[in-house]
Amino acid sequence: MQLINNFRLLVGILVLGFFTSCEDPISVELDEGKSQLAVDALIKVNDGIQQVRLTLTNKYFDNSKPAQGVSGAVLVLTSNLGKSYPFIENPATPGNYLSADTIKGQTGEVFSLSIEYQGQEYFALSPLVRGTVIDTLFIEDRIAEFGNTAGKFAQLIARDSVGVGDFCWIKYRLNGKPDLRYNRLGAAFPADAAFAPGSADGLEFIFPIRNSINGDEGYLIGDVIDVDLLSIDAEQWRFLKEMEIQLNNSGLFADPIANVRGNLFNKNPNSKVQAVGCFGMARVSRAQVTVQ
Amino acid sequence: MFKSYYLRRSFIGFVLLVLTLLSTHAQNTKATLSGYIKGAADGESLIGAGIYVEELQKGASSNEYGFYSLSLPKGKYVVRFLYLGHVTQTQTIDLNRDQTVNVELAEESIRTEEVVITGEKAEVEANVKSNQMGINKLDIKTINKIPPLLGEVDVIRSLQLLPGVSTVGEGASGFNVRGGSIDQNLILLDEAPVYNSSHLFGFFSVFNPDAVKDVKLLKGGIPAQYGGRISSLLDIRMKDGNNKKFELNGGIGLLSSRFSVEGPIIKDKASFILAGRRTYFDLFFPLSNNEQLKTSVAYFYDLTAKVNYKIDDRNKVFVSGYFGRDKFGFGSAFGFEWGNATTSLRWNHVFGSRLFSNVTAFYSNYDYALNIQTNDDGFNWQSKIQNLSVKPEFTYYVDDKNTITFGGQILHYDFLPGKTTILSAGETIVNRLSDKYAFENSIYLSNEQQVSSKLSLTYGLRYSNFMNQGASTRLILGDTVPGIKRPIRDVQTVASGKTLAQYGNFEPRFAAKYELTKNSSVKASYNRMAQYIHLLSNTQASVPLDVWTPSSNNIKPQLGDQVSLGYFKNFVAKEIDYEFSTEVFYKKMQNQIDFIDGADLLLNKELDAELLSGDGRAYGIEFFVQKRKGKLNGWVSYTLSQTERLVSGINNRTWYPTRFDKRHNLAVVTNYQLAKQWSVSSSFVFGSGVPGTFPTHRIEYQGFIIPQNSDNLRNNYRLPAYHRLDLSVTYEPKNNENRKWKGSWTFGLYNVYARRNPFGIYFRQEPPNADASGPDRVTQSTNTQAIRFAVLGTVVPSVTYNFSF
Repeated sequence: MQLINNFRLLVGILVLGFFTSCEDPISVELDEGKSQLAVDALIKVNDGIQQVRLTLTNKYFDNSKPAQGVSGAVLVLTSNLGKSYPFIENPATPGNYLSADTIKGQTGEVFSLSIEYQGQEYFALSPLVRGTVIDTLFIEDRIAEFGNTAGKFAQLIARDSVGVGDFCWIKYRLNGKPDLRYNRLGAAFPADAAFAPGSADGLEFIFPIRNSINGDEGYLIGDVIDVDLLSIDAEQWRFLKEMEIQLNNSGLFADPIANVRGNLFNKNPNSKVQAVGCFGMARVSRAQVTVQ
Repeated sequence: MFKSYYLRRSFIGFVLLVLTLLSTHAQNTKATLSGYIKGAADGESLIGAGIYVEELQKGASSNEYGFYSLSLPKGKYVVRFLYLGHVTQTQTIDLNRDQTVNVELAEESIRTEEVVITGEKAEVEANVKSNQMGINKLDIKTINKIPPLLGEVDVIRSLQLLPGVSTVGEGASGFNVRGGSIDQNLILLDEAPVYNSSHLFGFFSVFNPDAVKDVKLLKGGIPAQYGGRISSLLDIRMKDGNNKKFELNGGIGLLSSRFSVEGPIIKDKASFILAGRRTYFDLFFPLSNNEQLKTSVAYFYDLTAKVNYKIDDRNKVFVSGYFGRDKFGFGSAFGFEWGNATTSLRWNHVFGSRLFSNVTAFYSNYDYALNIQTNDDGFNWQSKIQNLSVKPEFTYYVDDKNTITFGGQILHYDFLPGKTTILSAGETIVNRLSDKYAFENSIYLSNEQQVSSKLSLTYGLRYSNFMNQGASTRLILGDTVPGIKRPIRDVQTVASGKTLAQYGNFEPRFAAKYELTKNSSVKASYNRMAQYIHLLSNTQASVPLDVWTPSSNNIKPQLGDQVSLGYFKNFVAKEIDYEFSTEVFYKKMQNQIDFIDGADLLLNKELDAELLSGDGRAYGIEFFVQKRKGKLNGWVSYTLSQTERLVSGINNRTWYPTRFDKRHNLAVVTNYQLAKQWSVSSSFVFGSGVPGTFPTHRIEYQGFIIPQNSDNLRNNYRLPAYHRLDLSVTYEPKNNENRKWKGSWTFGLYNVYARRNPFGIYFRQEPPNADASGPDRVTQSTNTQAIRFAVLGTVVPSVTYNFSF
């Protein structure tokens, strides 16, 4: 929960500043465990050719190589309106499966991704939701106050639609690359304009979300910022929320380390083999700004 | 409402029945000796003072209000009154009719050790002679000698040095007793419950040591008059206030200063105490050059006040209040505060010479508020739990063999689970989770019976009843599927005053003691406890934002059954005086709350659907050796224990260790009087590492690396062991006999060898290279690492000046 993370940060500043808490890397031995099929499938409608990446999970400390792509799987995206889009593996990049063309969909249409791999058949469902759109993206000069530095910061304005249950994911690129400096899953993933469903229904995105495309330091002149505002379903949002907790876990009030629950099921409920990761449909609204 | 009406009626009927039974117990050949035992210097009632009849080799002890009563065959007796650190008083009493003897015991000066032995003997004997097991008492003098963190003498930190008591780690609020979670301890301050015992997120406890008289922790064999939590009772009694003369006490430390004033309002009849404490590091903020720091606040304070009035020999009233608060903030932009407030009103009345009664009415409140505000944007969040209660209690000293206690309680709860106000670009939305109301009512009856000179028993029964009442909504949920939020089948409206859910539990209590020799005994006990309210916390350490929630149709009351067996022995000789005890316990816990992974506990209207319920078990053996007297005194405490849970949906439904499971727990506390003016104290603690969940694999998703345990295990690893040594030196300058002012200096070192005890180990992607600039500055490494987080990884020095006048 981002709110709690903000709270933790404040607690960190206020309390631990008086004491001498410390963090340092240590080496630990981990259990063997077993490798699993991991699915990275974020499919945007009306946005050209789409990709699903399948990998096998690596040992946690295996820093030597990226996860190995999974070849030879059969992937099909279908919808309850009878559409069918096969995804074909790109021979140049094993594990990357591409659609033949743009995916189309309408609000409420439920898509299903099925994956056949090594005799197991996995599937996941995702409804296409209504879209939240970017109103404006702009840069403003800020003075230093309340622990913030002065500089040029971006603001993203968008308004939530009335009715509880509109989930988004704000991703952004800085000079063409995803900005991963802050480990925050891109920028933010609002629910109904705030951090929890229903808490600010129908409002303009609340300030911490409007401000989420920024780090601690301001932008430099010439920086180009591209924002994707993705409208996603509730399950994807839950996946992001759990993922965010695990990625930013630290300190006195850390959450227990727990697996992030994916949304893929094995068609054979008795099978001991499970796939991890997430499949979800999204609408995208884009904006770009150059810092001057 | 009808139910509580009937409950009240049946309670009154029950009391009348007991009184009728008792009054037929004719005792023409016997007479009763009763009265109060107090300290001569300050008039403070002495809790647990001994009354010993030489001729009959019989004794009794005073209750929480200093009252005692002893029925004996008529005759002439030599009676001794004794209390730890006080001069024993011997009186010859011709008991041919009921008599009231109020006694004031003078405090021993430390140097005259010869006499102290007798007083200590009374205290030490309680170890062997009392029916109560699983008990630890700390008097404030002992607590004061333990090396403190930053000079703050602390009740709860001191408790963690006793057998069966542990903590998750440095700075974690609360304490764990015999494998129970922190919300399973009932903390009573002058009978009123305290819901958050921590200042500064968990570093210090909320009790001002200057106002505390007596601290008693019950871990097992809990008597029938207490209920509502399944693991322990921490009974803290405030000082009544010196009713002989005015007294000022205080201390100036690095972190805070304390000040208390007490004295008579009407000599020997009415007195008061007022004690306050405040931290002051924030007072230096305005001196800072930093504009932001200048407008910041960061402090905690607490105020304790108590007045008592002795109307006559039969009636005494007490009013006590506690108010404590923590506040943090940056100017008007950010504010965060929390605190407890309690008020209790008590009336002691003695009927005849054998029936003692106390009626307590109390109010208790815990609330917090978080506030973030800029011009057109803001966020405000509030939550609270509030109690009102009446609790009549009676003790009937039937004869020299039986003491009956009975009573009841009506306890009302008002929960505000959360209210948020969100302001975004000038527009406001208020969300309020509706208040939850509940009654927890109980009645009990218990008898302490001396079966023979060697065997005595305490047996009792408590009946508790909990009603969660509207107006609210009842969620009807589908079955639990591991890892998934339970589906909501129906939402029903419960009208105001109607019952949403109701539970009743019989809670039997039993304790037995058999004296093997004059100096040794074995004890056994069994208790069942029911707990109807639950603190929802799924973080490593409890946060002040955690919310208490009542049992509902989906959340069943927690039940705890505990059996324990102990051996108690005193080694008493002229120069040696050791107290030894060992206890084994087994505790079975039902309806323990856990959470689905990633559960959202705050501001969640469908909270019940994210909770899991399971079983718990804890078992262990405790050893305790204490040396009370001599230049070198102190104790060694060791606990070997295990605590586990079994919850459908976690750890593949196999038993897993709880977050606070510690196999070994050792504490060595010593105090050495070097010279007349100098004393040295030390405490050393060693605890096995607490468990944590570690991943095996990594999932790559959209450029992020997510840790994954492929076998779905919970708490599959142990953190490295925790150990720490603290030292302190106290210097008391020689007193000028003509001056009332007394001062002393305490110099402390906390974590002497600066060990980085890990509080937790976390896993993360390596952060990007801090030196990278330009377009490359955004790139993150895909390398992963384990991070050790230590709260106090260094030595913390302190100095405190304490004074009294």
